[in-house]
Amino acid sequence: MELEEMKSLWEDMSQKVDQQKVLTDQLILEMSKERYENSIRRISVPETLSAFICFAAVFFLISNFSLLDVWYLQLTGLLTIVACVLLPILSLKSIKKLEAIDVSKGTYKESLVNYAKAKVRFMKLQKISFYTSFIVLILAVISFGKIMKGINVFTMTEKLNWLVPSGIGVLFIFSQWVLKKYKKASDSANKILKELEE
Amino acid sequence: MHTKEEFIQQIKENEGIIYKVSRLYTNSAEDQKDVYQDIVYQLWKSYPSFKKNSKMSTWMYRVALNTAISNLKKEKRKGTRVSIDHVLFNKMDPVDTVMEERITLLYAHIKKLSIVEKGIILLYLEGKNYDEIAAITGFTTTNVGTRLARIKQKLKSQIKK
Repeated sequence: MELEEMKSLWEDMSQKVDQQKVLTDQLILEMSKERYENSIRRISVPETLSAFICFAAVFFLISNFSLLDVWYLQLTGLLTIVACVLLPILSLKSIKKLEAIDVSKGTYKESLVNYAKAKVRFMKLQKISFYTSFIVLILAVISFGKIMKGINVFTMTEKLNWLVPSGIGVLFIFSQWVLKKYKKASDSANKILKELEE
Repeated sequence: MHTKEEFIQQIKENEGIIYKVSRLYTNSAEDQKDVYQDIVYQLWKSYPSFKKNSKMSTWMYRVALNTAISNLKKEKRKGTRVSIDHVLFNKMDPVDTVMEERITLLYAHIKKLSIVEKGIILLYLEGKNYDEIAAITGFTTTNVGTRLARIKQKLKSQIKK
């Protein structure tokens, strides 16, 4: 297929598409309305659920805080509470920011710059969330272990014998995967930015 | 004052733009439907701020292209959509399969280009001149010329393969 052939084929297609007027008034209005409802629903379902779980955990920890009788257990409990309050708020805020972008304002070039930067920012956030979640998981296991089963992980060294190495192993495997994904996203974003500068 | 009726009329007159942009930036029918619908929604949302002293099609290309790019980063955040299957699948005459095959091939060639180049070639194929492409994309007219020359070269060697 030659370039000129490409252009004439595109024109033929455009003509056909223009002839076949298929959008109805009703369909256009439905699409606009439905999308609006979706944009709210998209935020509300997974994020609300995660936030609900986190806040339930916070409530449970606060109401049973007296069971954490040693200072280091109280510290892990406190850190778990702080993380469970902060993480859902940060997540909801970042989504709100994404949804608030006005696509009618910028040019194509500006949108591409925003896209490339957002891609890097998002991956950075993913990387931070991954490590934070891992730490929160450990803190939660310690706090909940004590509250629900009366287990003090710090004094039960036989449990730590397998728990610590397997935890480090899991962390290592997943962090390699996260870093690989991060590098791939950063490389492609930098490629776009470099191409825009040319 | 922009009315709902005016908006509907404009969308109907320019629905081809939405179809072509949504097809270019997606790789599946499902994603295409999502982007198609999101473009209509974004046009509706920004219609009150559209200034009539600029060309309607220029504004539509800009919103459509920007929406397609913004959808690239939220591809996994999907909601339900209006059933617009017939809109997308009946665009081409079903009997004309040869033409559809050639168009699929044409899109395949363009999709191999970088994300920056895709928008420029789309506007070129739409018959826009360098100044119009510059106004929509934000590149300078000279830069559009340089980029188009490079894209043509790239497509030529791609087609030869």
